[in-house]
Parts: sequence; C-alpha cells; structure tokens
Amino acid sequence: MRSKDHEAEAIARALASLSERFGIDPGYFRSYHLFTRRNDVWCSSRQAGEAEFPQIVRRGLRIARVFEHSVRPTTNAAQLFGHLVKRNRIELSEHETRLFLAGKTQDIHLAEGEVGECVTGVTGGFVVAFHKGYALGIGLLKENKLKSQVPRSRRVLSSFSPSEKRSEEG
Amino acid sequence: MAPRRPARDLLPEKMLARFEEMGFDLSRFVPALLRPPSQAFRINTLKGDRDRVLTSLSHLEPEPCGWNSLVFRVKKRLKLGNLIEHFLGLIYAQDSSSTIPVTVLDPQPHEQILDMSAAPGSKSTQIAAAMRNTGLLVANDVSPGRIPSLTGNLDRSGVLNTVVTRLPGQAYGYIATERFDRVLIDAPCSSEGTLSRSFRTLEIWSESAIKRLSATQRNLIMSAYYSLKPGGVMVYSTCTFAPEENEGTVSYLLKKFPEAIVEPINLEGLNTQPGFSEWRGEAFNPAVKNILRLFPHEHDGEGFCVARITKPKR
Repeated sequence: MRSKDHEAEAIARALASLSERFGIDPGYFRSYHLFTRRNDVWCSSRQAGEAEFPQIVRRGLRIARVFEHSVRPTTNAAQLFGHLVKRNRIELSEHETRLFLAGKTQDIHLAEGEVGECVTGVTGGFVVAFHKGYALGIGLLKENKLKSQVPRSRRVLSSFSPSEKRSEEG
Repeated sequence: MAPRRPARDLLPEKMLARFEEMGFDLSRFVPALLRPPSQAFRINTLKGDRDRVLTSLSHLEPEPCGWNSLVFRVKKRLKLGNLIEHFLGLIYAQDSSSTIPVTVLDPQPHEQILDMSAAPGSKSTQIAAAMRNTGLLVANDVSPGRIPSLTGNLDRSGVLNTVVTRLPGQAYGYIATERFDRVLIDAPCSSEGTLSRSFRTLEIWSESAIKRLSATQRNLIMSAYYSLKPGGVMVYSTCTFAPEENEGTVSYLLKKFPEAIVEPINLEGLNTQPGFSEWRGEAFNPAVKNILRLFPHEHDGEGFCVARITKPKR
C-alpha cells in the first residue's frame, strides 16, 4: 500500500507539472478532492472523494499519469480543464485535427521561434492540442512532429461532421 | 421482388395480443413501434456552452424538444458518434424519450443522488451535468460487463462527482438507508419500447420474463424508497409497455408505503397518456394515473414510462 507521503508527493508533482508546463494555477484544484491510484492522480468532487460504499469500482476522473521522469495529463483532463491552459497550446487545422483524433503522428508547422526554448512560445514536450478553441487532448511535440496521445479507445478513425467536410471541400 | 411483409409479422403473436389487450390500434401502433424515431442529442453543459455548441451543430438543423432546453432532435440520418462534438463530450447522443426521467428527477447541485442501474451512463451524465459536477452521484450497476461503457461515458462527459459501484440495486436500501436526496431507477425491463433500435429483446421476451422482471423491479423500487431521505424524490422509469412492470410495480410500492406520493408530471411539448387503471382484472392504485406514458405512434421517440414519487417529510 502506498504511504500518505508517497501520495502527497505524486499529487504535488502532478500539480507542479500542470502549473509549469501549462500555466494552470494549482489553487484551482483546492475545491476538489485529489488522490492517487497506482501511478495516476485522480480528481473528484469533495463528497465523491469522501463517500464510503462497498464495491466501489472508481471515483472521479483520472487527470494525470505520474512517471519517474515526467507527468502526462490525460485526454479527459485536457478536455475538461483546457480552458485553464495558458501555454504550450497548439491550434490545429481541420486536417490536422482529423489526424490527431485518429491517434497519428504528424509534421506540425509552427511559426518560427515557437519550438525550442522560447519562453513565450511552445516548447518540446507535452502540449494541449486545440481546434476552434476546444481542447482536443494531449500531444507529444518533438522536433516538429506532434504525436497524438489520444487513447486507443477514444480515437475517431472516420470523418467529422458533414459541415466540416463541406467547408474543406469548398 | 417478394411482397413486403407487414410490420406486425415481425413480432410474436403473444406480444401482439398483449398490445391489443392494452387497447392499442395495431395498424398504427406496430409500424410506429418498429420505425426508428428521429435521432436526438443532449448538450453536455459540463463541457460546453449551450449556444456555442448549437452554433457549431447548426448544419444538422437541430429541433428543440420542449421539455428540456438542452435536448434536440435531428431529422438527418448520420452517425452522431462520429461528430467531433461527440468526441469532445459536448453532446451525448441518446433517444429523446430517455432524457425524460432525469428531467423529471430534476437534480440540483450539492445533492446526494443514486442512479441505481446506471450503465451505459446516459442518465448518469445528465444527472452530473444538472448537479454541475458538485455533491455526490452514485452510479451503480450490478453487471461487470456494462461498467466499462459507463466509465467511458463518464470520462468523455467530464464527470467528477461520481462514485461508480457494482452492487445489486436491492442492497442500497440496507447499506444507505435514508441517504439520498434523489434516486433514479431506470429499471431493467422487457424493453418493448426499444424494438425500433434492436430486436434483441425478442430473444428474452415472454410472459414469464415479464413476471420475473416485475419481481426484480418490485425489489428495486422498495430498495430505492428505503434509500431515500424523507422529503426526497425518486423517479421510476422503464422502456416497456407492460403494465405489470410499470403501474404494477408502482402500485406494489404504494401498497407497502401508502404515504408515498405519485406526483403528476407536466412537461411541455409531449404527447403523453396517463397510467393504466387496471390490467387483466387487477385494479391498480388510483394514484398511478399520474404515471407518464409515451407511445411511439403519438410521440417521436421510443416507448417510455416514467413515475415521480416523493417520500413525505416526517
């Protein structure tokens, strides 16, 4: 069983990573209940976090996976808290979004200076991909290649809505 | 080309005889029952703003359903699950009738609510959105095989206030007596109202299956009532027409708890019928007339039956 210290450390690492990488204020999560399961950090309402019932399968939503050297936010967390993301955001076109949702790796053409150690721009590592202002999920950006982190079970292999098809064709 | 079989030939004689006994005009009722209703979706306000989502879906020409400002019908035939709005959890594709039980339940923020048979999650996600992700929603389902679809839909919809449990619904009356402000029992049923979607129900449908399901439903409704706080509200719903599974179940509860109140349901834009007063010589409690019944030949949606029951304050 994991100790309380271990749990607190994993949560602190996840919050620090969300803050440093994406500019999400850790204070935002004060009104929620954060806890760990295996190497994952989960988030629930306070009441759901404290409720006791037999045969609980799970509570709340997994927001991040904590690895030895990195923290990866989940697709679900990116979509729910995407509006809080201040940096390392990438806006995708229709075509790029389609590839992203299908779980593909793609060449990404950012403006000069957006990749690298630029303070205000996008740096290599995990980024949040957006389309028309909606957060799609997490991508891994490395040397102008964006690798979609959309889990297999969530991938959309077929096309989008007809309007988007029409606008592309037109 | 072979002549087209009349729709009624697709259904078992015993089922047709029961429908006739319920007073339906089979020439209107059966074709409507087997014709898929308009597709519908509900906007998930946990993920997006209603007007913004509607703007992005304007090409579908969604038509509002009067009883709930977040529910829309779509006349066009397309796979709603392929829309990017679906991937993002901005919409939940569900039959318009199935949005009615939660609308009637009327969940509020910061409450404690139980969804007793929650999978695959259409109603749990609707409850969580109405609660604005606050309080506690217990989404229970006894079937291990149905839990992944439930958790998948909770995830996609961005639900944070939920505890998922895998217990027989009958247990809640004992383990959570007078715990919940509201309880939803969307009971396992003979699913006669969903025949337009799938004929699978015909594999299990029989008079004895209805009897067996009705016994389970009686245990569930009792458990739900025990788990309700005094002053609390529960909604009992099924997607079947069988009076044994609807008025019969609610009458059973009223026999055990005569103080329980079956409230009238008034929803805008719905063509509804009251509950049956008797079936096969058995007179039901007169209060079951307040049950809301939806029939496919009168309403563009699957067949449904909904009862709103309150437990009086002490």
